[in-house]
Amino acid sequence: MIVPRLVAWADERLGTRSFVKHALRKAFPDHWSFMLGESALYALIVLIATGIYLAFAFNPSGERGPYHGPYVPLQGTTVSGAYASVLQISFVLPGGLLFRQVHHWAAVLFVAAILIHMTRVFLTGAFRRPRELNWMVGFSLLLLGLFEGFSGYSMPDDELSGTGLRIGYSIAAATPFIGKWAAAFLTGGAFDSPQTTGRLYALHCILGPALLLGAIALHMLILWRQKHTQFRGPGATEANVIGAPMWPNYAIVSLAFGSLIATLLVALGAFVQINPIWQYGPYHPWQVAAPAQPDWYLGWLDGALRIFPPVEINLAGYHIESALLAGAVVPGIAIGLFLFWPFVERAFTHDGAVHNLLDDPFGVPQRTGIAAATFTFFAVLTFAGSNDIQSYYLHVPVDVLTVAYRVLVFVLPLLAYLATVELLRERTSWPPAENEGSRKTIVRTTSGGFDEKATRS
Amino acid sequence: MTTSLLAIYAGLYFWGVARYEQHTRRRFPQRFIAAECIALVALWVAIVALDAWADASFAAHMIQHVILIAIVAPALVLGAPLRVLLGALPRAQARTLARVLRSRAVSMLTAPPIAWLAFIAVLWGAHYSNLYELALEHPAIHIAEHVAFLASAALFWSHAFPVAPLPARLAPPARALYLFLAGPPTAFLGLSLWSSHGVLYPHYLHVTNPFGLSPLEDQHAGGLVMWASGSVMTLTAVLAVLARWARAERSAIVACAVTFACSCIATPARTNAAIDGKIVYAVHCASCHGADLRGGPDAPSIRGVGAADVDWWVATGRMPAAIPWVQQPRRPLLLSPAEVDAVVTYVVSVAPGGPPIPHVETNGNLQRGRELFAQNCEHCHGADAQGNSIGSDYVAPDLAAATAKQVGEAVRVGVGMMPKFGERQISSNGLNDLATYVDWVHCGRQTPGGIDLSAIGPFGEGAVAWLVVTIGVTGYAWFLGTRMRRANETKEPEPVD
Amino acid sequence: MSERTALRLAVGGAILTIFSALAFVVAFLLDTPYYAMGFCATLAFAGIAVSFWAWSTGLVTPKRVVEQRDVAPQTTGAELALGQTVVAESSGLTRPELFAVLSLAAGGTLGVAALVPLRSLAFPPATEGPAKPEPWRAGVRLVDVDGAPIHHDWLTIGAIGTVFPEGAIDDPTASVVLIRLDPRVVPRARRDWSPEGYIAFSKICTHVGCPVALYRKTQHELLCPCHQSRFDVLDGARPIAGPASRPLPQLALTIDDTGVLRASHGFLEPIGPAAWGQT
Repeated sequence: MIVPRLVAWADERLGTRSFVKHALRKAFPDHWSFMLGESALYALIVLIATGIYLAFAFNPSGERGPYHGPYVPLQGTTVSGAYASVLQISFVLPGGLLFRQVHHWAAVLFVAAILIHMTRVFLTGAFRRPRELNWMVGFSLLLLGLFEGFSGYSMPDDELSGTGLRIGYSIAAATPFIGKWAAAFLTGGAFDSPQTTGRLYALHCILGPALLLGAIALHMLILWRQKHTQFRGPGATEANVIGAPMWPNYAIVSLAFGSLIATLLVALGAFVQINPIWQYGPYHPWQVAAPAQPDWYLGWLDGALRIFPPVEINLAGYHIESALLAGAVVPGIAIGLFLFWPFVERAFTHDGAVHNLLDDPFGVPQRTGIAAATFTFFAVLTFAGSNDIQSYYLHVPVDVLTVAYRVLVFVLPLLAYLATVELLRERTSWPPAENEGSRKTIVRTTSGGFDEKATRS
Repeated sequence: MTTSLLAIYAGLYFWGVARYEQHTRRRFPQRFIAAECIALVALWVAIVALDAWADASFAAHMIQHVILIAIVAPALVLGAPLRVLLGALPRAQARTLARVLRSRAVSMLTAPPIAWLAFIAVLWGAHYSNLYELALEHPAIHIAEHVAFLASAALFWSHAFPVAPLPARLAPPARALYLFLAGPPTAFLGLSLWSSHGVLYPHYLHVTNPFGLSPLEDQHAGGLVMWASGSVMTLTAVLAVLARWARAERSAIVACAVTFACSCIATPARTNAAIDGKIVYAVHCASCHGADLRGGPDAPSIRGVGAADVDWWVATGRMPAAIPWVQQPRRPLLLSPAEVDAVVTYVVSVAPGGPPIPHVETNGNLQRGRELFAQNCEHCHGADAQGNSIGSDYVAPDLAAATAKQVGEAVRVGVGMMPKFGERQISSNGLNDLATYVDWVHCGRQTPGGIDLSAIGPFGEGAVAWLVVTIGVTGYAWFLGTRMRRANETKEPEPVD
Repeated sequence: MSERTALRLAVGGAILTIFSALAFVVAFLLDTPYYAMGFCATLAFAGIAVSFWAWSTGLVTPKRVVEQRDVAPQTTGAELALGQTVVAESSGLTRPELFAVLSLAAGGTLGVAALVPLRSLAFPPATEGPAKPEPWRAGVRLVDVDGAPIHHDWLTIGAIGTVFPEGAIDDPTASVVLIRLDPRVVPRARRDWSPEGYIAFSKICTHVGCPVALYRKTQHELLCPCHQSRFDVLDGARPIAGPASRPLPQLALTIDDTGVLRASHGFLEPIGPAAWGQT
């Protein structure tokens, strides 16, 4: 009784009825791969919900003092306020560890979900005109996600993440021209200054989420305005979108999907340990624990740093080492290629037309091959980042693994590309009318057998 | 309590049989009742009679599990409890139950590949994670573990010996293959436990073994039990299936399959040597280290290395070594503890010198021990003392099975590639503190959060995340999306505006 | 799925959620361990998941809609049209071009000027005072992490420890690895830098700055765990494997009259990874 009256009160003043009617009937293509972007969105909702709780409980202080809490081995040890507050969250606050673990699991899932969504968009060519801008916004979301993740797990000031921060600081300091300022901005002056945690807190809890939410809003707005793409099918044209209506059909399915993601995240947070900072101990710049890896989404960077050979170049009076090449130049090139891919592809395909219909990935061998090669490239780098763990468990010398990865990082992506292109060349895409491949006609020969005759359509 | 639960179940079963015979006016086959009784008796023996032994010995615990999986589960399935239930329930409920059992969901969930995978997954998951350790500490988890074993095994066996009302889903040759394929994973698990280098479940480091075995030997015995029983169980089951098939088909192929299905089980031999140190040395060490301890092409000189050095190498099983000049891993002891002491005494008496065996206790200061560990040890051995690579093909091993004495010996001697920490750098109190912390990391430490993924770190966590995303999230999106599309396909699209 | 089953699942799921959520609250109030709360929360979300799934499968009528897109945007015509529209609507503004230029110039300069104070976020005033003295200088004593001076019998042969300059223990780039070699294997070059077999190198890896903490005694190699660079201690900590390309700077040592280790002079090479602009 009250709810309809409240709704009517608001509608009278805001005039939302026609917009809402239009919104509720929006067409959502009903292919399953269109739901993948939402998985990232739902992971983000969990991140924000748990993050707000953690932001209140966390103390972003670099001031050191003795630890007095229930974790026995650290009692009396000098730790920073930030580290002590995370121990407090994990051991004292009721449910604190649950929130912390769900938050971290949601973060690692968030980036994976973005990557899977990005792969779908790439494979189907949904980034082509008029959606180049949205592709760039989306890729920036990935970069923001990486940064949020890195700054987030560096906030507790533990041994493992502090080592990662040191590496990040060194790469920033080695960056051409802006190096000194970039590195100092990140840590508030010199490395291991007491202001570092406060910086990370502001970046991770305020600036980062603001940019993320702004970028997502832009991403959704552009999507809303341009409407979804859709796969080819009966009745589908470049000028329409066919699908399930947003309400109730699509929204309910989406809520079912989102609630499963939430269930998985909470289950992981409750039963699988992640980032046990008490075991790593507080950060000291002169101590390190083996093995030292970043979270998986930066594993490719660590792998690149590990397998890049020790080069030293003196260019016009500037000293360039492998750390800069592997840590800044190669990633910079990769980011540039990803970000401007719609234009890079257009330079090769000379296809500037508007595309609202999606490609079948099996029908565009080169693009799918490039996707396979890129995926393989980053996968090899990610595995290279844990070569010491593999050496320990597989009883293979670490040097052999390093050399192997140096070879594989070139050979495997090339093989992946060639294999994909070769395998897909024989397949024809649907529907046949759009197909540029050859049709085959079966004829009965005079001797009684059957023969294939390839004819061009 | 278990006994009373079993008694209640037995009572319900017999009452159900009586109702079944009343409803269907048919005799319920005697052999099924016998099978169910065997199951219940075996369950009682395993859970109640063997319980005390199982807590103190891994091998006994393994026997308990083997009874559950290899005797109780198949016998339970052969007792056809579902058939009894269907016959005993009033008609309407029996129909609903039958419909549920025949539904697509149930047949999907109990499909042979799922049953096989669940069986292997529960087996491996229980042993190769810290679930086992948690189960030993928390009775609730222990009960859940036994229920999981029983349930997954029962599901597994339900395809091997199909008993109504569940439909037979596999033809006899497929059934034989299904059973045969379960052999290698169980054998492999048993084999890896039998040849493991470290104690996997620290609980057994603190209990007195009723058979007088060391924790590592006990673990090896348990692995052997699993290997042997797994092979015997699979072999017997495959032969039973093939025999039934042969009776039905009388095919020559069956005879070949029977021959093929014979797997070999080998048992290790253990040697015994005399207790005289000189003889022990002559038998096991002199061939490489020389009768005069000066070494040779295959081994360095051990003159004057000290009791701590010799004791560490021999008591951890690294010596006697088969392959010279490689980094030796910890191995099951070839020598008995008395022989170890004898050879140490002998070597030191022939060429005295070097650090003595340090006296190390685990009652030191835990906080100081953690600091010392962080400063001097964790960069090689890992923050969890779980071991890691130290470049080339060398490793700093995991310290799970290292006793306080061995920690002290390694630190003072600087064994192998380890640096050598003297009294001025780490005092004897410091050594106690260090040993206390190493002991604490593996036994009774505070590390909440759940399953710890073997302390691999972010790499392992990322792997789990990807598994969840690719299988769980993407799979569910596919599931929901294809259902939605299939429902929508036939609808004419209505224009929106 | 029949409507009846779907309804039962939907209601069942919702009931599961309600009870589990209440159980979660109770678990919280009773201060139970995190996994008990986590279990209740998992069940609560699972209940919603089942409920929504049942609803979507059995209680929503399948429907398809078709939306027409806007006419495909024209290419060059559209941009001009947009520009012309803006110009046309600005007809009430006298001298619109001057307005645009003035706004851009004034606003732009003001905007850039407003960003300049960010510089002090990177370099706060305190750090721009007189330069602090180099932590490692001639005569500075070596101390351990608690500040106690290092005596010449601190390490046995084959040992390794971490040392700091007295008065600058907290300097993140000042940590040094101290190794005691057998005096017979100390390299001939710079032999006077290594009294009684003690040899010292900067602990900061020249690759990207992780502490080079691992030491393989029998091969005399230092290993950095981050990216697996290896340094040969008997050859001036020259990198022999991995991505590091510069040796670890060596610290010249001397033992004073009281038997305490001191630095003879500061490092001759820059410590740690190369920042941009460093020669």
